[in-house]
Amino acid sequence: MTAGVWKRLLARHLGGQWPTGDVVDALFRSVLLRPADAPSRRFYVRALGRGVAVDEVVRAVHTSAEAVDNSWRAPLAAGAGPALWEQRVPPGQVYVACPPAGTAGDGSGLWAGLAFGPAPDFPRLVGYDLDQLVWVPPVIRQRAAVVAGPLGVAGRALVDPSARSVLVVARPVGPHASVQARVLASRMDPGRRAWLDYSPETEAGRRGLDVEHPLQALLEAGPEGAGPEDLERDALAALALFDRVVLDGPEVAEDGTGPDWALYRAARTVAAGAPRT
Amino acid sequence: MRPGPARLTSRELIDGLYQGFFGRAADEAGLAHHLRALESGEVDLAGLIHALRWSPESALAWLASPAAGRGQALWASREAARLRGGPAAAGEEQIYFLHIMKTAGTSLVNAMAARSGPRLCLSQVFLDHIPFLPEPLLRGAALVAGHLGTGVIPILAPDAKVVTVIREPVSRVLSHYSHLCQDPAVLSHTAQLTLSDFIHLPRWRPLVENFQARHLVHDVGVARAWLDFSPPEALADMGPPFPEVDALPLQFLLDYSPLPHSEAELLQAALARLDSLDLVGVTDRLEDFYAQLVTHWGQTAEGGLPRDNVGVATLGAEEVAEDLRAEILAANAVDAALYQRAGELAGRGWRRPGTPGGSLPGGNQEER
Repeated sequence: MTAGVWKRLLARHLGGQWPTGDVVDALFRSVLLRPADAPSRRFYVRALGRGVAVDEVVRAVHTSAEAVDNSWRAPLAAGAGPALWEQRVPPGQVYVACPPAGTAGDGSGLWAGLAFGPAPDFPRLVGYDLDQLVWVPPVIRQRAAVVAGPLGVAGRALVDPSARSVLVVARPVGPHASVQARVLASRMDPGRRAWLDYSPETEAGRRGLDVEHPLQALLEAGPEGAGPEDLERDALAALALFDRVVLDGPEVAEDGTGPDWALYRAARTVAAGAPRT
Repeated sequence: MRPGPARLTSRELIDGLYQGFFGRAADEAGLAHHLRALESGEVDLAGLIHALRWSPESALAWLASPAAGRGQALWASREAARLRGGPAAAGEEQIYFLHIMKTAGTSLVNAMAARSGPRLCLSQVFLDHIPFLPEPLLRGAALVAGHLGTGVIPILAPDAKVVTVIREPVSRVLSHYSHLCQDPAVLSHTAQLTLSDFIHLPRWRPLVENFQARHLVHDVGVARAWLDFSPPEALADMGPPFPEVDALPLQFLLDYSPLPHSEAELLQAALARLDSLDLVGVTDRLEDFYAQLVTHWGQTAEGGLPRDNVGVATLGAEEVAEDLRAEILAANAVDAALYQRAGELAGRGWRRPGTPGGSLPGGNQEER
């Protein structure tokens, strides 16, 4: 009888109880493609012994710098290949630019936007910000039936050129009321490639923005030095770049001033009309 | 924090893996399936973890994980290279080492990686992984190296410098044979493989016949893989004597699928491709090639080139029966011409900017 069979019998005998050391060893072999070194093994076994949840240990190893480094040679995303293919060619990709979180929308616009295209279970890149989308391999971006997120016009360049595009506009009230016009006015110079020609983190840091999601922060901050008139002009011009415009939440007659209200008024008008094709 | 266990139940383990990889609790069906498999011994711990981690759901969860850190790592490597190399490094183009198997490229790649400093290197990458690597990485790595052929070139940095090494074909074929006979990954297929089998059996013949030319001209459509075709289905379509499945089907297609060229067309296309490359070397003058290569990073090849992956039991040409040698030569007329041309190009050094390469069939020159 082989050692493997004994081990299985033992596992069954113990009622499916797995020694934490074995779990850490197997985790290292599967994720980092090497045996656990003694200090790491000790560290994680002790952590589990002190009551750290299993998923935290899994996540720590899975997202470690070494795992990320490995993923650049043997990308985890390759596991998605057969599922991508199984879907065959979607009848058409839909790109949904929806308002950043914190606007007055209730999310209904996003679902209305999704209804314009196929929404199979897989793959849908929904809720991705620009930082995430840039790192999604092109093959997955192109095969996704739906790409949706607070991406404005800038994310459009990262999806299939033939994708139908839907813009979701929310009523501009609340603490983030002025985000939508800025996102739509941002074009993100396609001649400057993020992380290759410039560091979004450095740029975001210089402007005092969130450096954890720097591309998205730059998008939401709008073009540097743009005044209200510039924002209004560019945001309104962006409406014409989408095949369809829908409102997030019920239409309201309420009105205000500034580029975001101008955008909402224009979106209200367009949304009430025939779909663009 | 509650005291934790020295053992985990299968349920705790599976739930922890679901949360850790997918960010959600295990659904009932998934839990039941994995519980049954684990406790019946159908899979072991490592098998369970591997299956969950390489699942489509894990792939998508990974892609949705915070990505800024990855970008910052790439940027930091480029910045550090610029700072270390001074103004000369500011415009440092990517190197793509088109590594043809058994041309001594492993030594080169390892030596380059060892002296890359802060530069980000993508070495030992397989063709199947290329479609799933993020664009900034493929275009931003300082060195990309692998048995990737030329179909990958349009996906890399537009100004990438493409370099390769060509080997005298008989010694390359013998080295390939020796390698297969020692490679644990294929040992179950090659344990009884004689050199004569290797040369004659259709299963192995593509590795024997103008293999270097194949890697210079054969494009299996990596840029459209999973978009226009499924690599596993394309592999299955090849039929016997090839296996129906392989863990790296695109790589298999590059190495084994039929070439659409006549020998004359292959010769013309391969020579044109070779002429278009930025730096060409030959295995028997590898030190010279290495010395040229490192100048791209503003370095000199002090200390020579350490050798890796050299087959300990590689057959020498003189040990091989005359008739088999003659057959290998006959199967490598194009590779022999390539080797001769590579010898001439090896003395040229880096192709000067603005110097036209050979005219490439199929418009690939424009792609570059």
